[in-house]
Amino acid sequence: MLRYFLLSRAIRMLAVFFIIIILNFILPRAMPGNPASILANEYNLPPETVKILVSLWKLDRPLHEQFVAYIESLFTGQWGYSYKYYPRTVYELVMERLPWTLLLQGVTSITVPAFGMLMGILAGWRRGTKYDVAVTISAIIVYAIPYYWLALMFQYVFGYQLRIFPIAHALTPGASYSNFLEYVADVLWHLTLPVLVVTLTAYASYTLVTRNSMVDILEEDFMFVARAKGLPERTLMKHALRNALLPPLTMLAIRLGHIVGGAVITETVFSYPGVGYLIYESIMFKDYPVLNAAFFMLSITVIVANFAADLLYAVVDPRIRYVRRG
Amino acid sequence: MLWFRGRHIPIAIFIVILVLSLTLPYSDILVAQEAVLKIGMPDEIDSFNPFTSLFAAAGYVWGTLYDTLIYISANGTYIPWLAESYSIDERNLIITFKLRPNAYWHDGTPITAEDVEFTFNLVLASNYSDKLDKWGLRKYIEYVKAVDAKTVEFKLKEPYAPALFYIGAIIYPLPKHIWSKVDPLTFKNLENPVGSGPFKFAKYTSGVSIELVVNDKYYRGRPKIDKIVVVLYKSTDALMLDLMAGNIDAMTAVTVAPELVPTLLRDPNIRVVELTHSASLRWIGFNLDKYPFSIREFREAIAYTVDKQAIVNTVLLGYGYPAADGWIQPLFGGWYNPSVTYRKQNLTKAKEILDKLGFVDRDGDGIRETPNGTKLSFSILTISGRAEFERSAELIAGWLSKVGIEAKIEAQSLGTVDEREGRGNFDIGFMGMGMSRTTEIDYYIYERFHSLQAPPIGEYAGRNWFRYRNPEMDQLLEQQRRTLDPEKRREIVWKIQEIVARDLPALTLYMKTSLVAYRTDKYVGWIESEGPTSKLSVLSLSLKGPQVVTVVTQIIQTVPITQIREVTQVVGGTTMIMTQTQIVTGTVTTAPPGGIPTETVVAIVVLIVVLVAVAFLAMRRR
Repeated sequence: MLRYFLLSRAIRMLAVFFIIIILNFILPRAMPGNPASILANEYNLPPETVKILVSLWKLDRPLHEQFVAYIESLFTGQWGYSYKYYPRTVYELVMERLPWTLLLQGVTSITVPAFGMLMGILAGWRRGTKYDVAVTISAIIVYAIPYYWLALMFQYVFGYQLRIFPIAHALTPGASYSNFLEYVADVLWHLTLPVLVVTLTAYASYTLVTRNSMVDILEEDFMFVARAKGLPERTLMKHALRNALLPPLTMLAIRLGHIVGGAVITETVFSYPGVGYLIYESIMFKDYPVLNAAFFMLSITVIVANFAADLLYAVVDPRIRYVRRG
Repeated sequence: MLWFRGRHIPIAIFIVILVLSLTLPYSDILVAQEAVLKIGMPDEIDSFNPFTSLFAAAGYVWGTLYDTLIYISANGTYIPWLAESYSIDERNLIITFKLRPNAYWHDGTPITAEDVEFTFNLVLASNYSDKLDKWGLRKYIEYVKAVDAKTVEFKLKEPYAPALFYIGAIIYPLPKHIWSKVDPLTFKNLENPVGSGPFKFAKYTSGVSIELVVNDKYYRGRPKIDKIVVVLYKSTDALMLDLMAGNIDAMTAVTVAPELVPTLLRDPNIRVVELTHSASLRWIGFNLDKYPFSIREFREAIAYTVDKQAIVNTVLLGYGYPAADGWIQPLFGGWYNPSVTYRKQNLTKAKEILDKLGFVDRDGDGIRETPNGTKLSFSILTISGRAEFERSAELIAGWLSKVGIEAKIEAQSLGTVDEREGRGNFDIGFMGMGMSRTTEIDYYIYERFHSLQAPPIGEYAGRNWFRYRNPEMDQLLEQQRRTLDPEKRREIVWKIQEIVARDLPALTLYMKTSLVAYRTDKYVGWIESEGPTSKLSVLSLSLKGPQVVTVVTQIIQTVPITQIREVTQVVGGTTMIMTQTQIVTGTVTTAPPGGIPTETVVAIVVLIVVLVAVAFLAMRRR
């Protein structure tokens, strides 16, 4: 059964993958505007330069030639040269930024669901108490705070007024480290504010979903029976948890799928060197090679994360079994 | 009881210990007592290859790494820089540069005429020329030749006034011994770029900073600061906060928002300066191939509806000035024709012109119609996300409605706007661009108003997208390029301004001045008239030493040409020329320690304690 499931899924993933590769080529080029003249406009470049850029980036070639070049660069050519950062290759640019994105997104992918789910579980477990009300209301309030604003306030208070955390960047600009531990400490020090702000603004959705699903489960008959049997609290909690955690786990799977996409706003506000801003820029400037590589990467992780979520479900929820249809 | 109770006390203690142990080695990370100048810059550096880099901000890093033959100061003076002197022959065809005898590349090799010849030959006569000649120089330059070790000669095909600018101030001579071994198009130049400037490349951390260390053997004398850290930002807010917190000393390639000025001025250690040599022009371009914008009088009527001063007062909070109608602005000094000013708002006059043209409101809906019955209803195309543009466009639309012209504002992405304007699919386009006195005047006018740059509607036009075609203008534009006598050339440029102001292919609106801020608590010697982060200013900076109690700072304001020259010649020497001195007494400022302050440790501990406490409280049984 499992083998059949894996095979069918793999075939489906492959099909999706090819459709994505083709769409990936068409969509950015369907947006209006020519990358060379956009850059020319932004940087005030003379028309002579625009002509050179068009030929340098091979934008004057017929579309099918561009497509072949695109496929080639995707699999062999380091994803091609970036337009804006020419002559740096897209691979280089992404690899410079990806570790930072993975760090930031990785840490927040733990802190956000962990904190959010913990609050939700506790609120659901004590449904109707003052604690539940406090958690729910504060979650709704925090959920409504614009990320950008909160980040700016934190930068102002902790970075400018109190000076205990850096205002921006992933490292102290111009610092030199005498050992690796210092480097790690500097990275963590710079990571604190972004993680704190992301956690505070993003945990609420996990809390609300977890709390509601917890409340639902606690009302189920099997919970009633379990309680009537006189099972200890700890066991009851275990029973409830296994069922209540399904919806937030789905949210987590979706989040993990976007992990390499970076967090554009976080990266912008804190000048964090991640891929999110690179993607944002490539949309602004129509940097096709970067756009293509970014969406290629993004779609692969989304597909893989979905696949992983499917498998995970089977582990978490015994009711889900892979059955051959028909 | 809860399922993990009791187990998490040791975990909490472990976390606290871990955090504490991580911060311990930090107490001794102190930036050594060297003069490190930190300059904030927006965005990422696009390339370390000077041939392929397009981004203006990256040019700032080039300016410290590489020297050009000529340096153009803020008032437009050409100062021989890497060249000791230059001369132009009487036929205006041969330009000769004499290089400095004591100039060396950062790796110790002497800078010779051969290097200059090699660099320019890459642009002019190599397999790469069609990709490297971004300025179309091959049309004008016949050859470049190293006459002897320190003399290099350029031969022009015909007199070409902007030649000195492009040869002298735009193209960075590169070391032949390095660049002859690589493909100049794809060479990343990232591993230790070898330059000729006052600072050497030390380290690049993507998205964080570029570190440059002093060039001890710099031919103009060793700069007094030891290191420059160019700090990269993605958000101007963070940059400004870092400036206020003292984490950076100055800023470049970005301006201070007018709203922030009062906040900055509250800090006695921050000075806010209005740059004298650069500002941004905003204008609206008319689609001249489209009726009724093809009628000069109609455009003039629109010009009379606009109150330029009002836009400056409301949108720019006063940090700007109304733009002269002739495109060239007072910023350009002698190039600006003082008799060309701007049309002040006169709604009665605008209405009169419209009436005379037969554009009257016949159906009584408040909007005028053309004689053939179409309504005077247009769109103003502007770029989305630029509040300044949108606000100004809204003001203009309001004034137009007062004279019976309906204008809707269409804010679209830069790509769409560029494409629509380029192909002539618009009515009125709102645009902006930076203008600098240090750039050759030809750069702003030739392609902007030449009919060769105005293809028919449907084909893409780069700069002359309003499609202005005037044989007299074409002739004047060509003529000013061929005239090297500054007086005669100025006359032609003045004439061009009169024609632009008369024909109004585009209506200039206002100049947004460039406000920059810098800190005065660590360094002295900022030259404000050149721009605090300009090469001349950075070269004159020195640390406020802790041992010095009384320091004399030089704040040079509106310095005549001769004195600027003197300043540059004595950089690295013993004396400084100053027009105004100011005594700063007292407070010794020590450099703030780097690394994590003790407060952070306390904060982290408090944070963890609070979190643990909250967790305990929350998990207590009902």
